Amino acid sequence: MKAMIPLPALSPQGTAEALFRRNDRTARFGLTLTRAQCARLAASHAEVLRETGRVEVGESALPRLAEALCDSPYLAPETWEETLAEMTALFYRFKGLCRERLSDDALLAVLCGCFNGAAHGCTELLASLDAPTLLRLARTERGDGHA
Amino acid sequence: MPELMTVLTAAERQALCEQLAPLLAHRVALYTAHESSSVPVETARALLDGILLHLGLAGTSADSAVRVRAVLSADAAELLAQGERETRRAVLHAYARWQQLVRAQRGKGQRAAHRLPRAQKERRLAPPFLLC
Repeated sequence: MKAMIPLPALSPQGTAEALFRRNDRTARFGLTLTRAQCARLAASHAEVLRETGRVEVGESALPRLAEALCDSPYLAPETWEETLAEMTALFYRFKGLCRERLSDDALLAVLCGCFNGAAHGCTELLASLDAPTLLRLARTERGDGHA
Repeated sequence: MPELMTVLTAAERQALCEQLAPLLAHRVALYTAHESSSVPVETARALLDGILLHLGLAGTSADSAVRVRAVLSADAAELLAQGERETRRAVLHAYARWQQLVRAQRGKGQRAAHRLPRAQKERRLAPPFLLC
């Protein structure tokens, strides 16, 4: 029976819909996503979860990530979808890397702090962060001074 | 015995997943203290196993499909709460029985100690450090 009942997970359609609704918060920074973009991001979000061996239930972190990131000075409407996809991948990779020791909110704060701070909007720089650094930044609430 | 998920229709499988999703979401929220919306697959599987156990869906049995259909036709959250109450009651009952057995065994041991030869009785009652 164990292997017979699959794990329930968020539907990509639900995630896409929640992300689309979040446009009303991000639009004031000139960042909006079309329904097609939201569907693509939801699909890549599901793929990232599968790759990182995680299951998400309840409310997805993707719309919250969009909202937390939207006031960054390093974002442009043309690259919004791409950046959000990269940040989603980093978010779930770091969740696993920190072995569940960082809450969603703490990790979002660190990611956004680093993105707007020392990484200057470069997701490749953010990708080089390791678990001890992330945990230290979360503890000291100083995401802007390190990347 | 055919696999459960193949016995169920596609609509039933879908309905089962829809019934289990909010229950699992609630368990994940409790497990992470509402701090994380995602958990590793192993953790989610363990949490789901707990739900299935209390719903009477753990293990394989011939009437599993019947049980799934019963769950689908009822309020799964209520069934889960009822299952948890029954498990708690069974655990408390087992614990009380275990304590009863320990007390009985201890009484029997004390009675038997009266019949032991003096040297053996002293050795038995002596603190361990005196026996070295």
